[in-house]
Amino acid sequence: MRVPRLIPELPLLWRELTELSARKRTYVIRSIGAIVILSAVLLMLDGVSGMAASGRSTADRLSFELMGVGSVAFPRIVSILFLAVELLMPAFTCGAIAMEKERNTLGTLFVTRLSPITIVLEKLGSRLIPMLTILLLTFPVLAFVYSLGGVESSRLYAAVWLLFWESVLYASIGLLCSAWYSTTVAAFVASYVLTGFLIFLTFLMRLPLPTPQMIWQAGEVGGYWLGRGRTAFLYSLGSSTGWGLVLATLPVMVSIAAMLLLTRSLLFRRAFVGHSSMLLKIFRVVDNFFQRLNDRAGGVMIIPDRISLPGLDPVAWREREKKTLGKARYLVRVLMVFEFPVMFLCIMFVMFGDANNSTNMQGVLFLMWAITGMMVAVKAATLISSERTRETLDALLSTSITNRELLLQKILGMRRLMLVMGTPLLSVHLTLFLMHCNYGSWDTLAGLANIGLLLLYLVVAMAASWNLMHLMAWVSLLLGGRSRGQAKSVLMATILLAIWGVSSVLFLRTEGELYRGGFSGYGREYEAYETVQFWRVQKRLFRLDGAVDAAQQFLSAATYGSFRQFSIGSTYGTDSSMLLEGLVLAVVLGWHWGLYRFVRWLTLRMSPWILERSDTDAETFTRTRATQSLMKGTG
Amino acid sequence: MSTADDSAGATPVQQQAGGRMAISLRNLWVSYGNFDAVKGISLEIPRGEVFGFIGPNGAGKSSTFRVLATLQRKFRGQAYVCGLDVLRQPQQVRDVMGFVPDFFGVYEDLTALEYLHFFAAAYKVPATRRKGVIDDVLTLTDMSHKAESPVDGLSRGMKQRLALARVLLHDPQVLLLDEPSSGLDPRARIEMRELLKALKEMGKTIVISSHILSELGQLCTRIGIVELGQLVAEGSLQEIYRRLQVMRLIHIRVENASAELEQRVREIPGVAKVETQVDRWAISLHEDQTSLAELHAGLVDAGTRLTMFQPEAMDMETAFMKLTEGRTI
Repeated sequence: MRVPRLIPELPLLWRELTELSARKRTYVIRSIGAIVILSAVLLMLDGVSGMAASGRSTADRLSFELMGVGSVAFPRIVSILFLAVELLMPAFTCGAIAMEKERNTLGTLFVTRLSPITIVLEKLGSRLIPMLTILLLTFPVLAFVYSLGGVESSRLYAAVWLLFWESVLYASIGLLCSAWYSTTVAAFVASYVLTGFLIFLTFLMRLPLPTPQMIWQAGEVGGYWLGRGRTAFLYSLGSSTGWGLVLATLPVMVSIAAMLLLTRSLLFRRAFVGHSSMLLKIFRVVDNFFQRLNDRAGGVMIIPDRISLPGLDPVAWREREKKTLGKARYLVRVLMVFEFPVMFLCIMFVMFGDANNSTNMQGVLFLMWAITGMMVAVKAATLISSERTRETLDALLSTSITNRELLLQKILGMRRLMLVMGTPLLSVHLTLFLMHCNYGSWDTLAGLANIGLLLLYLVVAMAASWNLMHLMAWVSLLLGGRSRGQAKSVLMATILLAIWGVSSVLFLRTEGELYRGGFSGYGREYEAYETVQFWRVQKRLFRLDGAVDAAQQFLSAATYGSFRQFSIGSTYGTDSSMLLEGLVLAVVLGWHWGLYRFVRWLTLRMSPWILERSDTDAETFTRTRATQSLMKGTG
Repeated sequence: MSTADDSAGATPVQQQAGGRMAISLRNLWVSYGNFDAVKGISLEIPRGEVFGFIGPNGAGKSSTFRVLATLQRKFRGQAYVCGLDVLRQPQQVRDVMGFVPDFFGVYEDLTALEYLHFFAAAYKVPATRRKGVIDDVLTLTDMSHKAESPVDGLSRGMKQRLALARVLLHDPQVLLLDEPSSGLDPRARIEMRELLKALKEMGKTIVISSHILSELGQLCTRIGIVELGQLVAEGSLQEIYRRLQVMRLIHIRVENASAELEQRVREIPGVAKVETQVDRWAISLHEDQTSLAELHAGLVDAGTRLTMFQPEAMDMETAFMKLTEGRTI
């Protein structure tokens, strides 16, 4: 008698997992992911236990005083895990279907007996399993924290439940993008933009959307965090347990089901779409629309297409004149897309926000940097790998152009994109400048000094931003230049930049500890001020956006007189404090400029390795003395 | 990797040879990890020659081309193009060499004219000369009518001609063409062959790899057969046939066929084998011992009443199959 199978045969899932297990990249990503998460968790745990056993030795921390610390540590660890899911899940899923399209293997799946929904679900499963295994790695830590006490078992179950659905939610978003776009890179960018937008709406704008993270957050901190008038619904969901929690996640499940069904329908419709740029198509439609409008209304084209031919910089010319994100006319539209919402938000915050609290503006700045970083990194990482994918690199490398010229011209071709992305950033900084101006005191010397400092802030902020964009571009080119595929180069560059960006969070705790430990007495302020400054410099030297952050600190100092914060009544005068703050800023800016120049130099130095060809400039053949004499002899 | 000591003694010699030799390879080894793609190929190609590079897939042809095109950083042995060391003087080698890879990598966002201007700038052709040079190569490759067409919309044959136009921009002395006829329809293939003949008449040294062996037979002055990374034969076509003792197959029809007559035919000097087929006899002949005319006379002397005497064209496929034994990787 034939026994029916309890678990259905899942050939696609099996193939996917076999493929994943055969790739070196899988283990690298998993290891890095696990190391980053565990480091963050352990450092945070150390900080929390440090707080509980303040002033005691490390050995004493494992005393009874740690009992109950779980109530503080547990929510923080879970928050880190939510962040990890949001950062990693789109990267895991974006290639699930797009890669099949790139390899022309999706058609062969369609002619099998696998139904579209089976394909979608098995793809989902194949990407969920690696994420869940990474989460599983942190469970021993959760168990340890639980053992410290202070955590209700219902919260533990809620965390596991909500983390699972958070993973499925972001996997569905990634899968949807993967079904829509024809390339992994496009799907990668789109899934992170959607993820970032969702985080922006929920976490930064605090809209009460019932995502798993919001439900968790509401359950932990409730109405205080969400603000007045937004609490009732989510707080009741977040604090529920058992079936109540299942019910609370029902909207998430419905959203996931809707996205998977949409993915299923897109699977066929978008299976054989060309590799042409979606952005270019949209621009062409807009072009046609305006052309017709101009024909009827007699309008004038402000930036017409120029017929230009390359001069001495053919590679930069092509990037500038022929690429979608290079043409001036198209870049103006990209600028509009970013600039208008940013300007709108800035005006709203200026009109209705609190002049002394620029948190919302910081949120906009964060979002703009996330988008800018993503665009610059993706573009720079694929500068060489796109040539490899399209099989144009060999033809280019067999010409007289040197490796150094090629890389420099590639980056030069990105300048317009950087200018466009820098403009909304300038708008935000300009708004901050205007918000911090003390308009009533322009007639006094102090007021004018304040304006001068704020103007200096504006210049420094833009210089730091320009430097950061170049640093990210060169780092991405260095990391992604050697890769054979675009997806791999983008993954490598963005993961490193993301880790570099996020890892700075680890340093914030140290500064917090310094504050707590150092300001108990009046007489110790001066020492603490110097120590804090020292740590700030260290932090900003390490941070990817250290120079931009230093400019922000300078703004804060220039506005609220934090130069004087620690020095009133002491022998340390205001001017000296200002000098120190200025010195800190100069050191940080100099360091980051040096860092950018170093990465640029290193990339150019490694150009033969990146481009895989020898170059007279980079690899000058040095003859030994013995060889030279031998040659003289034979000659 | 080539080392200073390896090449030190040879360099003056190579410089002298550079006057005569367009390509010079000495004990070339190319390895990818533990796998040796090229195992000690040595080869000299004089200037003005059309050299055919034949071999099954994975034999090491493209790796050898990549070394000569300065695109392979790590290799052992010595490689010279027009007397210039590929490893030490890559920039100078690029100035005297044009390379067409075995795939169609084109920029889809450019027109044919822009594409050529792009590469003219990359080859550092002075801006004042570019227009004239591009007009010339467009005329030579018969692409003038397609100058304003987007590259992406060109047919495969046109793209291949454009690729050839690209490598002619800086007037190189040596052309390296990796499978230029691959995937082309018969008309495009014939047009490509005619174009290569024109370049040969211009005195260019052409090194060409192809699977279309009959084409190489018509075009090449010398060929080299590569298998498993080694050069198994090299020389003119006639030399290779002679060396391989490739037998000529002659089909005959005889009115008075009999076992006795067949035996007499077998005894004719130079005849290796007589195979009886449905309506004919297939004679395998050592042509280096007995010419076709001598065989014909011998058959008549043996008393055969011939109604058909049809020698098969001696082809490179036979030589190729004999040499490579189908050992592809």
